[in-house]
Amino acid sequence: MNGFHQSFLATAAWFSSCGLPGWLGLVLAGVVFYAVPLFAVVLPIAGLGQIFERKIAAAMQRRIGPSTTGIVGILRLTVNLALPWKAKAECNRLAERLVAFGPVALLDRLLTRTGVAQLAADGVKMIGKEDLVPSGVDGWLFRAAPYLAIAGAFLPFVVVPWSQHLVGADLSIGLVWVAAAGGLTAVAILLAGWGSNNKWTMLGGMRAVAQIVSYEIPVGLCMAAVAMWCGTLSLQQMVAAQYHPGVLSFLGWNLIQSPFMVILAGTFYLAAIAECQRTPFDTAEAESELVSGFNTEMSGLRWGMFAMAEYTETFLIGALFAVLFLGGYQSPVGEQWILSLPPLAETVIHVAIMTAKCLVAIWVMMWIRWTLPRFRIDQVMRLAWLKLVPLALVCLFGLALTMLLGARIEQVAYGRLLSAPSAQLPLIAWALSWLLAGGAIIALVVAAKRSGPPMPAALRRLTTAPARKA
Amino acid sequence: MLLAWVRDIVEGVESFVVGMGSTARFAYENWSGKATGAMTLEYPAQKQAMPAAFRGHLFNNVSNCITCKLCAKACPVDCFVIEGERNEENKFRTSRFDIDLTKCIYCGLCTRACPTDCLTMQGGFELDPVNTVNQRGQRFLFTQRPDQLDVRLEGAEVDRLLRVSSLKPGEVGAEDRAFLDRIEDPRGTAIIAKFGVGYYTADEVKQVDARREELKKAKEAQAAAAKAAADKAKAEAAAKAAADALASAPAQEPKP
Repeated sequence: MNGFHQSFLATAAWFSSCGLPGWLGLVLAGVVFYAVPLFAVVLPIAGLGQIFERKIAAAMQRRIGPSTTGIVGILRLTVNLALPWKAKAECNRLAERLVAFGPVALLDRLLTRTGVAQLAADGVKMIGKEDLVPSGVDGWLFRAAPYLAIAGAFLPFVVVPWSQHLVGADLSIGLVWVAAAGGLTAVAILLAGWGSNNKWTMLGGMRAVAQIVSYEIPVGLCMAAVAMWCGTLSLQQMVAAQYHPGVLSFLGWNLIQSPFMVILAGTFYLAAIAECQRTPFDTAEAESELVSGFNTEMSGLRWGMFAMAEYTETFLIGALFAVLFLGGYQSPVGEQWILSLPPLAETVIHVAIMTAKCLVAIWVMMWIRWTLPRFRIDQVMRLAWLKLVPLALVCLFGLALTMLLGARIEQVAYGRLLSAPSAQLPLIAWALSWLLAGGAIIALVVAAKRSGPPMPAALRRLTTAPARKA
Repeated sequence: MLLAWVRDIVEGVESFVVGMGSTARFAYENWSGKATGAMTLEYPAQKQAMPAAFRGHLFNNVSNCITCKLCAKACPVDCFVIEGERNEENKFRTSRFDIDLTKCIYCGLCTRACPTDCLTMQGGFELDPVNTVNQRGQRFLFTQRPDQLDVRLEGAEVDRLLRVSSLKPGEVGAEDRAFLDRIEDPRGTAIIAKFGVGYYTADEVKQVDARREELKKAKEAQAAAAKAAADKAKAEAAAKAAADALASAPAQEPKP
């Protein structure tokens, strides 16, 4: 399949030749080749996600955010944890001398001001907390829930392509796998909610499941539409279908293939945010109503696993959004030449591009979080069933029509029909689809805005940005 | 129906875009340093200047205090412990002025009651339990001046004492200790000020207390002796008066 996979298979074979049973060799090789790198990449990013979220929140609320933890603190913490005695004074002196040294001082300043060093403090705090299992909980469910949440967040990454050569497993049913494995999260949250034997967690768990089940429909419809457009369920092939030769590689991206794709992207993004329970859709946690919702009774590392799962899921949504709409790991310009590089260089560049796309998606998610207040549960459900599902359906049909039209135009213009529907329309069809569909959508929007009574003045003031003071 | 549906979505998207714009503007201003309006202070490092009328910790300038105890009477929570005594020149002075800040509600009534304006509220508002735990185990017991017994400090010495008193017990250096030791009671008592925390050991505090107790007992004994003398004189006078009255009783009738 690819070089990475071949080395995986070779290692598995080597394990078997050492006398291990075949399945165990496969599992071990899988851990070495897939699980470890995945955790090594995704866990720090998920952890950093929390820090960046705090910084972004602070920026949007005119605060500073984490800005105090630095190298001195980390050193003292490490030494105090690692050594049996409390070497406080010695540590202080050592750390201060170290921080006075130029490059270290620079690094310290960077870590402190960006809040990255806070990650260590948070992590140690979380790990150091008492592992509470309250009396009256359903022990098995309570203990299993965090692991399921982590599994549900990490399993979809198996099929996410990072470059031509770097993909866990390029399943032919990749999107189905993502939806199925992601569904574990709903189970985990329901288990946590039910197993905690607590009213808040119960309500939070029920809400979460209702919400996740509802939002899986628009998400599924969006995935189906893109799969139909690209003619494949495999994420790797989906990325390949968005390849466009020449300098302007981004012309091949799904997002700009049709106006329906733009709407579809928005629908997918919103629905995906709702599926991973982030504000403004975090009715399952809803700290103003439900204490902390489904994880009220979770403490220490159990809670940490849920938090980690949440941030991993944001990362997953970023990756999926990139694959479905933004050409996956492909560069916006000059993809042709990157593909012709040697495999290692190509992989490094592609992983960097993919990560950048994920980070942008995560950043927008955080931006939304600190902009919108939390919806009520009924508003959340109404948004799913009355707005997103119909929108996704309309876009699905619109895209199907566009494909038919494109095939027809191709037949007329070029005298041949493509053997399979193509993700990229011929130029005439592309222009026509933008003109027709875009025109129709704009006409609808204008008509809708003219219909009905005008917006009350008070409401209009709220929806227009206030004039800035000089 | 369809138009209403579309309109709903369009308006939602519009207001969403406006909201995103406003948070983006905030973030941009914050990151580019153009932010106006309230910003967070990094508190322990940067401190906010309190307004002039801020009601912070109480401070008593003992040299002006006349031990009238009006503040204690005005206090709604009884957080004052005030003692006064006379020195050998028979001048009255405050020997103890403790404010239990665990009780204080910072109402400021005592400062209004103070006739000499020596009791004031300062700008400080931080309570560091380490610094304010008294050796006798009373937390937050503030003696803002080297109140005790008889010492009078002025200017730079007061500043230095204030600085030393804010140090933690382990941080009081040899020089500071020597400085504190130099502060002597005019009457030769080694330790005068039980200032703030930490400098004096429990033994030393015991010494001070014992000294104080001794003085108090001496005073009481003196007072008892004086009273006894007065009683005796009075009794004598009464006896004399009675004798006189007896002698001149027939001559003078008491008028109503």
